[in-house]
Amino acid sequence: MDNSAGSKLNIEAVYKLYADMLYRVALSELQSDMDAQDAVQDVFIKYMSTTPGFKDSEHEKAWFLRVTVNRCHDILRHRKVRLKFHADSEIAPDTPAPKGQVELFETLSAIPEKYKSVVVLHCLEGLSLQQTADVLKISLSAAKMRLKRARDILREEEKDV
Amino acid sequence: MFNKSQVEVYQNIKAPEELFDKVVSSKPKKTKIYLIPLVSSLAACLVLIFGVATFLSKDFTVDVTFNGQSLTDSVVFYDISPAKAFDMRSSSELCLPIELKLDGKTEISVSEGAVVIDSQRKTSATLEGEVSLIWEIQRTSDFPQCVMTLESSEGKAEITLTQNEADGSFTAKIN
Repeated sequence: MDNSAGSKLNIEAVYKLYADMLYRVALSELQSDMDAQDAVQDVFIKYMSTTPGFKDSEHEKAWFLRVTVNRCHDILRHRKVRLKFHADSEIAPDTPAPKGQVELFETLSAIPEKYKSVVVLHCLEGLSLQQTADVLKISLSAAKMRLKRARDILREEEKDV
Repeated sequence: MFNKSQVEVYQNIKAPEELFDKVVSSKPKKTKIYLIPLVSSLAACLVLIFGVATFLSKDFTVDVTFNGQSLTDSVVFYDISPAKAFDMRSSSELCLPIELKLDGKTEISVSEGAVVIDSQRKTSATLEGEVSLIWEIQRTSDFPQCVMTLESSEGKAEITLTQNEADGSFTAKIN
């Protein structure tokens, strides 16, 4: 088996392991299917280009999440017109959004970018707060603070509704 | 923050199938080496290093007129005829008239003899600007190497006076 065939198999295996999770995170951050796909594709290209060495699977997962979040933040920074989530536009251009997904993303869109990553990783992806802090390279107390502020914002939103 | 069904909805989000093809067909990016910025940065660094080195290594320069002749800071030998160097006042002393143009406050000291400034005899003095002085050195059969040191905040220069045994003349050198 030549190297390219081996690396193709490797990328397929890694893709199967992380693609859904990374796409979910990217979609939550970017609220755009195309941008989320681009972000995930960029992450895998980076993985193939740098072939980073990982201590264990946790380290690998954290790397993928961190690179995805950073790439999403880059895209958001460069996006001239920030896309807002609409059920009929970006999330599922070919198929209608599943029931509940629209509400979920509407809730997420109310959270400022700075706090959103903590919410997505901790509340939706199920990472512990320490793991979330490690992925985002922030302190545990900063992660807690961001989560609290996101909760406060959502509470305020609920009151207004 | 999110109820169970919302988390379930989230967890059920799958990456679109076309994304797999995009990723698998992607080629790793080669790391670009931006030569022009690299070279220009390197050039800027070299200019900076050269500038700093030049500034720091700037020699202390002083205009010296030694016995009526200009003594540059490069290695210049100047022969002093013993007959001219003898002052009328004392036949046993070598009296060398020196004119200095000093940029800032400069401390002058001599290893042998003394300097006469405004009729005062000193072995060291702090001087500034244009100064005329006479360096008086005891003339002996075994003439020592005499050094006049000029030191300011910018640096240091030395005028060395030696006698050539062959013809009895003197050589002055500044470094």
